[in-house]
Amino acid sequence: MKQDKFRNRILPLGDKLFRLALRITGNRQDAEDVVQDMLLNIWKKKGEWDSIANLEAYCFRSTRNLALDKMSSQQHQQGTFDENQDIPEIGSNIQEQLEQEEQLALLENYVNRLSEKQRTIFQLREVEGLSYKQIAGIMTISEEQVKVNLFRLRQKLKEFFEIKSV
Amino acid sequence: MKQLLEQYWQGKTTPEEEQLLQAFFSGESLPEELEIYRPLFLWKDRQKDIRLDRNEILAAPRTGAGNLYSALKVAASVMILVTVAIGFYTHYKQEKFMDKVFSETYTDPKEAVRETGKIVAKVSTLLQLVPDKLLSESTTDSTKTALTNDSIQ
Repeated sequence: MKQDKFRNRILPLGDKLFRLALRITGNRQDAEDVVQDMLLNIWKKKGEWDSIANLEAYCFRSTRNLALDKMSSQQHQQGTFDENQDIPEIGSNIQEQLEQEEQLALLENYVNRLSEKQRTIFQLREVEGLSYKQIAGIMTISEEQVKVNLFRLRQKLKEFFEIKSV
Repeated sequence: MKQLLEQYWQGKTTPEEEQLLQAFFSGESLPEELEIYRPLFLWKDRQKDIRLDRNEILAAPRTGAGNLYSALKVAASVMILVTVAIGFYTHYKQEKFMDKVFSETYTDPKEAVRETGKIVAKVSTLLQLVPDKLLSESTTDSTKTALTNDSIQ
């Protein structure tokens, strides 16, 4: 019974959890370790699954916490949450006519320069397609904070593409 | 679709509407004025191709609980090595002991009988000379040493 739930509900989240861990740690091996630890932890807690309101959200939250722990243990800097935190500029060469692959590389680099909170919000919404409510639940922040951050990130991206095309 | 895109920039679209936009921008023909945004949606598409290597995950754990697993593996290996080493050492010592025993054995029966007779005679003489001292609890250390030296000679 528990094995079915694990196989059908948790294991299919593997790729999404891995992408989130990778976005936070920036390292494939660390991200694999994080997902592995998360799967072990969640299996050990199988007796508590029925009391967890949203198992999927719990997996995302647990993955994020483990990724942050890993970053912390490696003495990486962790951003503190501030909804007014500056959104970094995309790049100084935005006026240049970049090839498509270069634009993608620039975008990837840009996302990685965001604070951990901004990166996680961006990843969960833009890539994984989660709702504001789900993201807020995973990150234990308000929906409004999710909305504001995403709005500002999207505005920055819009500006980047529009200026580039002038 | 332009209207939906505008709502997207404002953060007013639902995840379902954003999926529609994603499908739209993944299409081959886009209005020229929207072409500039294509890389963003292409980037999002490519992110989905990043997948977990399940073989890595199902392999022996590397961290966390894996530390215990690794430690147990090391401990087990050490135990096996120690057991084998003790086995070899014991076997070596036993061989050495047996070599010593057989190397000190007399090969000539007459010589063996003669030597045995000498030892028996020496012990008998000792017993006759100092029977009380040998059995007494009050035997001094100096007497014991004298007896020992005598018996060796």
